[in-house]
Amino acid sequence: MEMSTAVQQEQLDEIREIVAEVLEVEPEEITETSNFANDHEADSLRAIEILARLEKKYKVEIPQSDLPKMENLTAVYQILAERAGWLD
Amino acid sequence: MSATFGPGTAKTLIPHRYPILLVDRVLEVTAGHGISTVKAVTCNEPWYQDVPEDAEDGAYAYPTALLIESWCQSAALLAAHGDQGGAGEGEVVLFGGMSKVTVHGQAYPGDLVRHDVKLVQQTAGATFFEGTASVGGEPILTVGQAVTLVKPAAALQATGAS
Repeated sequence: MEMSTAVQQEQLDEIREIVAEVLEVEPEEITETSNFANDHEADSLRAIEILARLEKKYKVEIPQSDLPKMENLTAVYQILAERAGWLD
Repeated sequence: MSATFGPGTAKTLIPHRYPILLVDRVLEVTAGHGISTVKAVTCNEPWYQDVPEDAEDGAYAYPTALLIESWCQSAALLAAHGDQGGAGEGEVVLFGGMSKVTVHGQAYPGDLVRHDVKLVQQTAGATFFEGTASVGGEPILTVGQAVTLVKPAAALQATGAS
């Protein structure tokens, strides 16, 4: 279990980097629950950019209907984990 | 399948008209992949009419905003050609945004500006583009990312309008 936690943290940090780059903030500013829109001034276009980058990097398809749910790092991780089959 | 065409065909694909249709010819377009276009700069264009009589040649640099507009129209033509990210029935294509845009130089009357636009990714109603504008093989503009969005036309209609 120790192993899977380390992998999980690595994946989380990777996503944090991507989100930080799109939102033009330092990765440390993105906490697991900080709200992209309210805390980091993200608009709908930024959200689509985040979705697009994740799709490209992890070679998954994330439906547009998941966009409204992608409001913080934890939510993005969960959606991605589901689509990429990390939970299997 | 690539194609070459002029303003007549371009006008069937995008709504831009005189004096703001800023693409003169499509050299090559491959639906869903890329487009190369030409914009010929002349001193007859309306934006030069107020240049002062005693201005030097340097005052005739093509306005950068219009250079970017011309590049974006090329991207719009790419999206509309073969309907890759173009507007379907009851839909409109909106300019979303651009980032990592660098201006390296200027175009002047007499120059042929060549735009090269590549379609990078399409997802969630958004289309991502990147590319360059160049004169004589020298880049004068690079665009790291441009985004267009397809939205229902109804979302733009003013409420309460009859």
